[in-house]
Amino acid sequence: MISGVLKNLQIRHKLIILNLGITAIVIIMAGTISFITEYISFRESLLQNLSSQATIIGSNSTAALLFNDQKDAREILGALRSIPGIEFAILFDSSGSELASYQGPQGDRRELPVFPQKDGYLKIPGHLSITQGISLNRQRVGTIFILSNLDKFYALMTKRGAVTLLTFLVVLSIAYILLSKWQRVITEPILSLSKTMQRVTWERNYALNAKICSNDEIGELAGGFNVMIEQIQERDAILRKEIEERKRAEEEVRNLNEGLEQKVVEKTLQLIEAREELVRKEKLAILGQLSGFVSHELRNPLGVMNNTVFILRSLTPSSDKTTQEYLDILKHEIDKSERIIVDLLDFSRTKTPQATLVPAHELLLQNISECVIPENVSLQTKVPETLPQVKVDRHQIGQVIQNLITNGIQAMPDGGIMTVSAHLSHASGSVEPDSINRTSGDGELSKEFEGDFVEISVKDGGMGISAENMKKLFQPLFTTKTRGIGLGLTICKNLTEANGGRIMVESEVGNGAKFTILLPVAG
Amino acid sequence: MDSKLKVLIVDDDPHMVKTISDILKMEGHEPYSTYSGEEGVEEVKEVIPDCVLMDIKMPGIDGIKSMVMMKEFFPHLPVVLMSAYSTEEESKEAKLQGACSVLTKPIDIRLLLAFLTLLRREKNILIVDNDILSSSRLKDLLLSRDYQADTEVNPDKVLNIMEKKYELAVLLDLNVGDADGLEILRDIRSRYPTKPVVLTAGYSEETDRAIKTGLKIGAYSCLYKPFDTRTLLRTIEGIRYEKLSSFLEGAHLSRG
Repeated sequence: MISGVLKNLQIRHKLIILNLGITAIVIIMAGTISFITEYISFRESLLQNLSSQATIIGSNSTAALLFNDQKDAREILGALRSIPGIEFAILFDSSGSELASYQGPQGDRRELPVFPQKDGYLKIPGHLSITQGISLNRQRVGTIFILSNLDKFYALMTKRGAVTLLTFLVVLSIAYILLSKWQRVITEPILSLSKTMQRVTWERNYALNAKICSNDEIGELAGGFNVMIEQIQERDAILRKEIEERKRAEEEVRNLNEGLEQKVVEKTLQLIEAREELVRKEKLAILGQLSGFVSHELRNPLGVMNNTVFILRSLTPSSDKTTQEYLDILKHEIDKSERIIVDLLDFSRTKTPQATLVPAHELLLQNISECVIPENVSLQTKVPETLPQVKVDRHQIGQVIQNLITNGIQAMPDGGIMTVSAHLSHASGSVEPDSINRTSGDGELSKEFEGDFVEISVKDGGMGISAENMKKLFQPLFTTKTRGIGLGLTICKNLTEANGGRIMVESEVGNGAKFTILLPVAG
Repeated sequence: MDSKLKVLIVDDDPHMVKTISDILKMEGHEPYSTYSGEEGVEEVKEVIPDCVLMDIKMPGIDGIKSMVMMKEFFPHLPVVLMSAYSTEEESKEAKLQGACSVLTKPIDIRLLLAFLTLLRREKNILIVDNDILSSSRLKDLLLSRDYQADTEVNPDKVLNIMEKKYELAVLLDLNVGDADGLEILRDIRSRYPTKPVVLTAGYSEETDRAIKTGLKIGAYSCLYKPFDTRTLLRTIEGIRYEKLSSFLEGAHLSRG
C-alpha cells in the first residue's frame, strides 16, 4: 500500500518519507518500550513504596493495636499526611473492626471498597490500595488499609509522554533536515543522470555524458548509461555512415543513370548524324562514281567534237560567215558541257589544296580581271593593297572568287552595282550565323574557328535570297536557276573549307546577297 | 632544219585518233596512229617519234604502263598523256614515271600545237667556249643526238645571239678568253632569269671556287672536262624535259 502511494513521488521525497517513516517507527517503538518499562517499574516502586508505608505504619501501630489505643493509632496514621497522594488509611484490629482512620485532603469515603478485604493490592480507577496484615511475634494483631491516588503517577507519566513526544518531534525534524541535505548524495547523481537522459532524449545529442559522481550502483548506472550512449553514438555513426554511403551510392546510381541517359541521347544523336553522314557520303560516293563515269564517257566524244570543230574551222574559208558562226556556237556549247563536267568532278572530289603564299590583293584582282563583266553591271572593288598574304591554293580559291562573281552577275540580269571588298579581320571562337538572314557554310566547323583572316565579300544587286532558300543554299544540286546543276556554291564551300577558310552568306529579299569568304592569313 | 615532228598517237577511240592526226597533219607534223598500248609500244620502236600523245585509260595495257615500256627503249622520249578523268594519284604516278604532263580531254589543241612548236625549238644549244677544238667536239656530239648546237668564241656576242634565237640552254665555259665566265653568267641571269646555264670547266682548285660562286648566282649545274657523254646528255635532257613539262603544266593549270 505504501509503495502504491509512494510510487509517483519524486525520489527525493520517497527517500525522505521512507527514512522519516522508519525513524518515526523506530522512535515510536523505542519510546513505547521505554514508556512501558518505566510505567511498570514506576508502578512497582509505587507498590513497594505503599507496601513499605504499610509495613512501617503497621509496626508502629502494634502497640496501639494491642492496647486498642485509638488516639495513638490516629496519631500514627496522621504521619501519613507528609506523604502526598495518600487519600485514606484505615487500621483494623484483629477482629476486623476499625480502630482508626486517616483521611487525606482529597479523601472521599464513598470511593472506599467494602471491608474486610483480603490482603494484597486492589485497583480502583485512579487509585491503588493495599491491605496488609500486622503481625507481632508471628501473630496477627491487625490489618492496615491504605488508599493512594495515582495523580503523581499520572503526572509523571504525562510528563514522560510529553518528553517522549517532544524528543520524537525533534528527532524527526533533525532527521528531516539531515535527510534533506544528505539525500542529495543519492538523488543528485540520479537527477543528474535523469537530466542527462532527458537532454539526450530531447536534443538527440548522443555526445553528452553522464557525470559519474559516486562509485556506487548509481555511478555504475551512469557508467552504464555512458557506455550505452557511446554505443548508440557508435551505432549512430555507423548508421549515418551507412546512410551516407547508401545516399552516395544512390546519388552515383542516379548520376550514372543521368549520364547514361545523356550518353544514350548523345550516342543516338551521333548515330543519327553518322547515319545521315553515311547516307550523305553514300550519295556523294554514288554521285562521284557517276560523275567519273559520265565525265569519262562524255569527255571523249566532247574531245572528238572539239577536235572536229577545230578542223572544220581551219577548213572553212573565213568568208563563209554562217558556217563559222555555227562552229562558234558548237564550240561554245562544247565548252559549256566541259564546264558542267568540271563542276561535277570538282564536287565529287575536292583535290588536296597545293597551298602557297599568295598576296590577297593580287589573288583578288587577278581573278576579278578574268571574269567577264557585262556592260550593265558596274563593278566596284574595295581591295586595299595592304592586305597580307594568304596561304591557299591559288587556283582553287581563284575558282571560288570567280564562281561567286559569276553567280552574282547571273543574279542581276537587269544589271546594277556589284561590290567586291576585302579587309583583314580577326575571328575568335565562332562565326555563327547571327540572324535568320545569315547562313554559314557549316555551323559545326565554325565553332573552332579563330585567328587572323582576310575577309572577302562579293555583294550583288540582285533579288536576294529567301530565308527558305538560304538553308539549302550550300546543299548539292540546289539551284534556283533554270540552267545549271546547282553545284557551284557547294564547290565553293568545299574548296574554301579545304583551304582552311569559311564561307557565309547574308541576304535580304529584294536587297541583294552578300557572300563572304574568310581565308587564313599566312603564318 | 626539219621542222616536221613525228608524233605517235595512241588512243582506243578511233575518232579521237583520226581528228588529232588530221589536225597535226594540217599543222605540218607527221602523225602516226595506233589504237592500243601494245600497238603503240611496237610502233615506237619502228618510228622513233619526237613525241608520244597517249590516252591513259585503254583496254589491255594502259597508257602509264605503255609509257614505261616505251621509256625502256627511249628514256628521253617526251610522252604526253591524255585522260578523260584522272585521279590525283594517277597523275602523280604518271609524272613519276616520266610523263611530261597529263592533259585532260577535251584537249586544248592550241596548247598541244604550242607544245610541239616548243619541242621542235627546244633543241638549240649555245656553246660558249674559247677552246674551238673542245666546243666543236661538243657540237658534233649534240648534233649526233638530234640537238642543234651553235658555238661562240667571243663572249661579247653571247647576249646578242641569245636575243635572236630561242635557246634551250647555254653551255658556258668558265674560262672564256679575256672575259670572266662569271661576269657573263651574271649578265645572262639578269636578262634571261629562266634560261638554264650549265657551266663547263677543267678541274682545278681555282675553278672550283668560281664554280661555287657560279652555282650561287644561279647556274643550272656544272660539268667537268673532259665530258662524260652520258652525264652531259642526261643534263641536257633534264633541262629540256623540265621546260616542256613546266610549259604544259602551267598552261594546263591556268586553264582551270
